[in-house]
Amino acid sequence: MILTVKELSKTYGTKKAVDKISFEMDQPGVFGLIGTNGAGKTTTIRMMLGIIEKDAGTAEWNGKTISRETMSFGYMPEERGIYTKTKVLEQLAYFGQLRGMSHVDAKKASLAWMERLGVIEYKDMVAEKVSKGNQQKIQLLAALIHDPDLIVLDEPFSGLDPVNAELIRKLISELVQEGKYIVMSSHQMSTVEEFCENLVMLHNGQTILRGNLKRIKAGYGHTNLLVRTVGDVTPLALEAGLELLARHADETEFKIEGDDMAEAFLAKIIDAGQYPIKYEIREPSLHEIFLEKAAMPMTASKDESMDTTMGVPI
Amino acid sequence: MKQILTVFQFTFLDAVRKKAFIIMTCVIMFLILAACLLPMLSEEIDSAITSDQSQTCYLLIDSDRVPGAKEALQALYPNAEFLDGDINLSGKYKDEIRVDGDTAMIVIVEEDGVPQIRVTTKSFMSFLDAALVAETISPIYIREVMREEGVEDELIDFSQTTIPYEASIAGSMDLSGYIVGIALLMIMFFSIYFYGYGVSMSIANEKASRVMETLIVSAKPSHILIGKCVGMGVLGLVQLSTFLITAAVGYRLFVPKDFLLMGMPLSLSAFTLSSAILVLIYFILGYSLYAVMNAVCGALVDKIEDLNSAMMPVIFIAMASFYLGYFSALMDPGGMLSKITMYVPFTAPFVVPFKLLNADISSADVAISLAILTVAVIIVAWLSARLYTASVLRYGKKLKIQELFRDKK
Repeated sequence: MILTVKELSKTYGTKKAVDKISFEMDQPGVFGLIGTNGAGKTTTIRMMLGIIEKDAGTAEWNGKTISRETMSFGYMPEERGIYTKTKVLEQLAYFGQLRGMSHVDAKKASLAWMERLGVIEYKDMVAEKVSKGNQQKIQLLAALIHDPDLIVLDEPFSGLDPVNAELIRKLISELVQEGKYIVMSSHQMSTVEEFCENLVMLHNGQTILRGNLKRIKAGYGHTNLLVRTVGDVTPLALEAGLELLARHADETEFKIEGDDMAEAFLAKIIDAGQYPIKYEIREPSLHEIFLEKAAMPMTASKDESMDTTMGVPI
Repeated sequence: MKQILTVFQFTFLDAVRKKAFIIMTCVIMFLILAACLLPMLSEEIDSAITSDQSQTCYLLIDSDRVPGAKEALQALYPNAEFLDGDINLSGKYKDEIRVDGDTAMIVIVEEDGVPQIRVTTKSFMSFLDAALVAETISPIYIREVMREEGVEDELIDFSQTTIPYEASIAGSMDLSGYIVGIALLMIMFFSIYFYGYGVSMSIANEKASRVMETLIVSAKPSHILIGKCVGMGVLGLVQLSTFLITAAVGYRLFVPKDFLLMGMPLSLSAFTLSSAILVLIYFILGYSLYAVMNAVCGALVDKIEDLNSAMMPVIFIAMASFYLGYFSALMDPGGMLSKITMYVPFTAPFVVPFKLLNADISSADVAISLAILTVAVIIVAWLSARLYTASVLRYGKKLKIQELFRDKK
């Protein structure tokens, strides 16, 4: 199975909401669509699923244009919505039936999924009496009830408390294990880093980065040094030419130009009698990459993004 | 088709299970039964009133030409007590009448040879009717004057007879047809208004609560639109049938067999099988026409609070059509306006059923009107489906006409 999105574009008036976005998924997993609010993630998803008309481009599943008629996909929109005055089980069965299931099968599947997500006790309750977090789980169930191969989740973690977020994390991992193709949009970079092997980064409708996350990061090399010591080593770091990035609660992060610089700094602090409790050389976080890319002029950043993917054909 | 059925089933069952719907249906059923009890209660009240002898009328006669006036009035108002009053105490009687509605005064005098009857009551709703009193006293006076003039009794009797008359209606519009027709017109209007409002409210709710985006990836917008309209329409038919059955049961159980409405027995003879079927068809087409327009109103708003403003044009069309239909059918049944309103799709569902019940329309006119209405429903439904599709996922932005024909299926 393969999901292919080619040069999707959408313009509202004079504003280019999405400009020629392309990506591909040829194996089960989670694909990340990342960007700030208004970057064009939801518009991309809506075009991809045929909810809104695209100005140009194609979105195909196994070579066929994606639409509710040609394939069975699951979709959880960013704007959460359920029938507040209707019982949970009834509305889930309704959504299942709309996706072609019989009433009996839809009810059976609803109960099984409710059991799996721990909301079975609310089955006969009207949705407005269920907590916000559980309403969100019910919304997710509406996307999964008909067991689709392609699942599109628009900001699935927004508004979730830590316990429910962990539950959804676990579920997404299980779905990947079951061979599902998941496209997930998020503006939370840490979430995408956790799940996505491949991603597209959007900024003001433009693709500023795309490709395999590991390769993108590897392309940047080791740029950050995280140090925890008993005393303050910042003056020594500045002397050694390191740039202070951030002071965390009990550690300090510096920008380095390479491993040699980090090693020289390590020797310096040991000489100064500051034995490091933590010493970690790492690649930049996705958040840092995003900030860097978003700050660049569009044309330059886009060209560089092509280099950064280092030959990943998209 | 399966999706339409699913949306229909969900819409119907969801609405039927709502507490507000159940309570409203029960209340209206109770009111219908209460209305059926009214004739019986009114008879009971009438007999209670008539057995009450507390009505008093002072009779002040200052003329010799009305012999037997008291007896004649007593026969006219058997439950009132007629007391011979003193003409000098008329002021006192008036004071009494001013505070007591069950007291009245009749003064019969001759001034310069001209008779006069003065009836005094507390208000115009008194038990005593001045016209009836005058109608009773006048023949007595005339008879007496004629007798004084030497006219023979036989001739006097003849002069006071009324020539027998008979009223018959050449057309088919009788009081029953008229009343049932008006009732039908009202039912049609309120059904279109209430159940159409239900459609727009349901869609506006889905849009405002953002369920729409989940729905739209599962079913075609046009399927959702049709399913919703049919669901609410069937709900309306079921509720109306419940009311009609309740009315029929109430009529049978509580309304006296000899009940007369404005002097005529109430009958449903105007409802033949064909007219009933045609009325049902007009109900379905009329409801469909307005329901799809209401659906668009629901799809156009972002917030429920804006729904009434969005519905205003449709409500205005419905109200204007209702009144236009009502007045043209009643005031000028054969006129040009009545003919036009029969063919105009928005007014036809109100006008034609009324005319059908009163046999005031030809088969050809029914066929033309039905054909125009059907075509109008198809065109308006198609246009509404486009508008609905283009509007359901639009928040905060105005819809441009060209987008109607470009945006998604």
